[in-house]
Amino acid sequence: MAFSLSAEQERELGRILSRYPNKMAATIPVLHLCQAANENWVSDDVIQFVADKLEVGTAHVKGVVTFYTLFNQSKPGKHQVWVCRTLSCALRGAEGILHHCEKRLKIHAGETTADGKVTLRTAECLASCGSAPMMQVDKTYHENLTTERVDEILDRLIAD
Amino acid sequence: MPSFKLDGQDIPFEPGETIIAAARRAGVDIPHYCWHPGLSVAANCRMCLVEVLPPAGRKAMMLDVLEWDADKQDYVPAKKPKLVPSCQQAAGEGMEVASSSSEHVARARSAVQELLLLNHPVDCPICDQAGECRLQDYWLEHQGTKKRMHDEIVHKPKGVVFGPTIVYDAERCIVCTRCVRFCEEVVKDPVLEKRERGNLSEITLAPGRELDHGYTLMTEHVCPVGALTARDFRFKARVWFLRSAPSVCMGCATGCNAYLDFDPRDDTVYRHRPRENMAVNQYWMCDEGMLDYRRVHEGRLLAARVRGKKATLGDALEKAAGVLSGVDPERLGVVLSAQHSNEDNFALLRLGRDYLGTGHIYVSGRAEGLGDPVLKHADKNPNAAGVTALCTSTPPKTFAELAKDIHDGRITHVIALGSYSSDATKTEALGKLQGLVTLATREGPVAKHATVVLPVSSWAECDGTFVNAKGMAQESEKAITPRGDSLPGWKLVAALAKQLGLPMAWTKLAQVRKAMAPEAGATVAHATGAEA
Amino acid sequence: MLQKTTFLSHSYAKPDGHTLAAYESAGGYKNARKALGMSRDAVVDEVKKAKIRGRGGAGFDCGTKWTFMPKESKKPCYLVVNADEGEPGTFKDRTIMERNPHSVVEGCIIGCFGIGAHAAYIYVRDELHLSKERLWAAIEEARAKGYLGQKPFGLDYPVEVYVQTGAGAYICGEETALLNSLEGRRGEPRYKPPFPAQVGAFGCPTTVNNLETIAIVPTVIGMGGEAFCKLSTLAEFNDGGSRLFGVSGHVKTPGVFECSVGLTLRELIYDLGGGILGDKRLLAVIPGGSSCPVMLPEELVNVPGDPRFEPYNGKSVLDLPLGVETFRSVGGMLGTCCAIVLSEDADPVLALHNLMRFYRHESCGQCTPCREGCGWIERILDKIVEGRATLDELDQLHRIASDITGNTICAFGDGAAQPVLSFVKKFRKQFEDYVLTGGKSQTKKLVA
Repeated sequence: MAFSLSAEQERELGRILSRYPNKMAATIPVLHLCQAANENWVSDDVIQFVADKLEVGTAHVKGVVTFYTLFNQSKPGKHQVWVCRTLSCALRGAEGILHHCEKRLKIHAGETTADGKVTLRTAECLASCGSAPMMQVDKTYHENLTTERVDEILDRLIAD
Repeated sequence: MPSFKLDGQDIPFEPGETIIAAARRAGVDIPHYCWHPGLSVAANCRMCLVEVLPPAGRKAMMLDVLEWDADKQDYVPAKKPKLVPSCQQAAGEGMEVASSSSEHVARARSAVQELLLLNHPVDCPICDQAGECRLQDYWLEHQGTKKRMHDEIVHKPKGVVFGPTIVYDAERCIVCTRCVRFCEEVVKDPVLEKRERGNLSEITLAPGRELDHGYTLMTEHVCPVGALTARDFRFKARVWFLRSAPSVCMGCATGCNAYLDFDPRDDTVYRHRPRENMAVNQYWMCDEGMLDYRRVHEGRLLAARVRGKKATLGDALEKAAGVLSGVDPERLGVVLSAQHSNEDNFALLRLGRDYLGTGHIYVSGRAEGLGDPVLKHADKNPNAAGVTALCTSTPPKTFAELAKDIHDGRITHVIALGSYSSDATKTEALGKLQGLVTLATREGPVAKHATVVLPVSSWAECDGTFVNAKGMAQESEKAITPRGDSLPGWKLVAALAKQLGLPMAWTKLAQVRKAMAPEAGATVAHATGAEA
Repeated sequence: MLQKTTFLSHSYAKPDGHTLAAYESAGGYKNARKALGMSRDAVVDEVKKAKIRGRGGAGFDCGTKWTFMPKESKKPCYLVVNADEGEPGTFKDRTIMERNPHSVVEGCIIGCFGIGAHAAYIYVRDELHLSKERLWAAIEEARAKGYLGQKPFGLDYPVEVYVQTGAGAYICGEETALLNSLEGRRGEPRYKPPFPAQVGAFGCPTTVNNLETIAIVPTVIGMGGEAFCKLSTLAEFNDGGSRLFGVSGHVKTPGVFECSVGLTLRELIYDLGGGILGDKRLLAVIPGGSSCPVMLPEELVNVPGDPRFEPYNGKSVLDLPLGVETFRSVGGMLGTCCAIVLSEDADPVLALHNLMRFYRHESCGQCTPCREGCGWIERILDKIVEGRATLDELDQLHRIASDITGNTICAFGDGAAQPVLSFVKKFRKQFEDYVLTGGKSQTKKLVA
């Protein structure tokens, strides 16, 4: 089924377009908008929709989608968890946090729980080095993590 | 013209021109993968790095690196100059550039070459690019080291069908983006794009699309390695057994300069590819043109026929002379062909107009088709302009007019070159003729109705001159020996004239060309024929 | 010299510090109003006198960069603010966006005026949702007050400020990659020239400044360039003012601190960072983001022939003031002034392995040396860590890194090579031990 936006989302698209001197410049923000409206992933339908709206080629949109890690090329879980594992976090126990998440969710990094609730991923530096270890859950940063704190957070996601 | 020095050699340049482009014009090849003179600069392969020496009195920008000192058993600091890509760096007056003479450049190129082969399958025996692959050429020229990475390579998709004509192997791909840029910049159909990033990068198709525009085979041609291969050519030949004849494409009136690649051992043409000519086709050809070489072997008429039955050439010439002798010149039509060379057409015109005395000159050819803003001309014949020029004062009449003249009984006999009718709805008129002698390369409507058919060699089998839509006369050279019983058209005309007792004693092409010279009008354009 | 300042961080501790009210109560927007009443040249002049070295890592002088913009341009000009903070170890810009976003908006107004632009795009990495939210809120507040739009402060110099989001790509912190991303393309760096001041965003003259650089501009206008410059003890190194310093890793109190330029690593680690976790020995420090060479406390300053270095020669690099020129002169790099600290408990082999996984993941893949070289380095390090590598392979590391250096379109390649070159040079024995013992020499982890 072809992808479309709600009336309010269309208005948001209009606001985005008004910020740039040309339509192509809106590619990334419009992809974010559409991804959020498409269960957090960018399907070929979404690519076609964005290409039509912005009057660019579908190849261009696909090139962009695949370049940036935050555009999902397949449907993720309801919640997305990113555990930062770059050096500052690694020095403060990121590896342990990641293993704990894997054990707790019974999946490996890169996978989604069987019930489709949580996708666990690793992330490269999320600019939270002074409050390591940390992880991002959907749009929220959780910093200075302990395994107890991780349990609380994951419990809430699993229950949601 | 200003100039700079490349390894001590003076290289003139146009203001704004890059080092690599100026060098190429001067006949000096700076090694490169991603750069193509007809495409935008990507500067991503880093093979064309050169050392631009600092102006007198200035210091070069030096970078800190490390070397291993085996005696000290420790690293020692080292310096190297910042190199620049010659595809991007504009040449400057008096600039001193070191390419083959710089040890730093040599090391950088060796490293690039090694890194390009790092995750490459090195499957040359089963690769159709083998023999014309830059990875092979440059390994020898610029690397020469053994493999130092012994682990499994990064695996990527192989044998991906991009469309009706092209197959993609991502493991062989060096992501130079020539194919992407070609589609976007030349064809204006951005159907290819790079996907992912880092060492996972590969070329991908636009969602819902195939690589199916009119210039898909050019993507294989611009690919400097074996990543894109043409389904038409895959596993058919080894390029080192092929020879190349400079030819002109017969596909339309653009007259793209080309090479016919053929195997002299079996006289078979395997491929048609562009030959650079900035005044005509630049570096490109269309798919129709590149596949048009097939007409050398497909649908050919390789033996003479008399009333539908196979005949020897001698018998057929005798019968043809019989058909034509004694015909009232006012009832005789001569049909020239926009598909054939000036030489063939001139010979027939000389016979029909000057010796047999008819003024009824017509021209046939392939029907009009679709043109495009890139190269394709709507006129699908290579020599319409040449035929028109040969006819000097009165332009030849159309095939439709011939059909009408036959229908009205004004024309009863015809001698025709070529087998195309220009207009499929008008061919039935040929059935009303009392005599039709056809000199043709291929089967077709005019041959079908002929009393006598004489087999003419294709453009691949003889030298010939063709005048394109811009009025440029271009020579196409012989690749293979004439197929079957066929002979060049002008030779058959001369033989027929001899049979008719006429004094047309041409035995050499030079004689035809000498006789034709004042009438052909156009000048011969010479192509450069360099490789991009 | 440790000299704390609060130009950017004055309201960090207040819960409503990010609001317009809080910002204005601390004198906010007076400086933009003042700047718009000055001539453009005068504004640029003040910024030049301030000697603000770009806070994004390259350390280019901000005022000088502004002078590259055309005096008159037929095309529109743009200010692009780089807030794609992602250099491992760097987390300072985020504090400004979350806790003092109005300084960015005010800086944009002055910056636009200084370079002849009427629009500023703040490019924020997508993950920083709170930062984007706070910036947008600040923009809306400022607009509602009439500080943005057609007539900021009633003056005839239209300025619009927009937030642009990335989508997960470290390379977009490179200014030309950022411009491509801003234009809606793959974030692949462009080759230079042309430089952004000639052909930048949308083909128009553009200045790209780091977010902290822009955020400090109002302070410069307020106190005057010279006065600001003098806050620094490195003014004679053309490195003026105050800036944010960060410290992370094996320190007791990691965080971001605002101080005058001239702070030393020792002060950052021991005074501000509270010292090494568990009071262990300091093994090494990466001074300003992972692309800087790692430094050891036992490395001594040795810059003969330059009187400015006399006070420091013979001392540990930990006692050398953190500055662009000072660190360049000792074979280091200042970078973003956000230090990553490794205690003696940390395994340097694992640290480099961690970093090179990052660089392999973030290489845009355009240039052959970086695309393939980073992958090869990571793979050799995988084998070293797993005890499967040979000495031959260890000896490839510096060679591959040396061959990446300088041979790519952008500085990412150099940034990826620096950690390799410095780690193998300074920790060769540890790497060798891994190889010779099949990985059994590993007794430490990364965690302290």
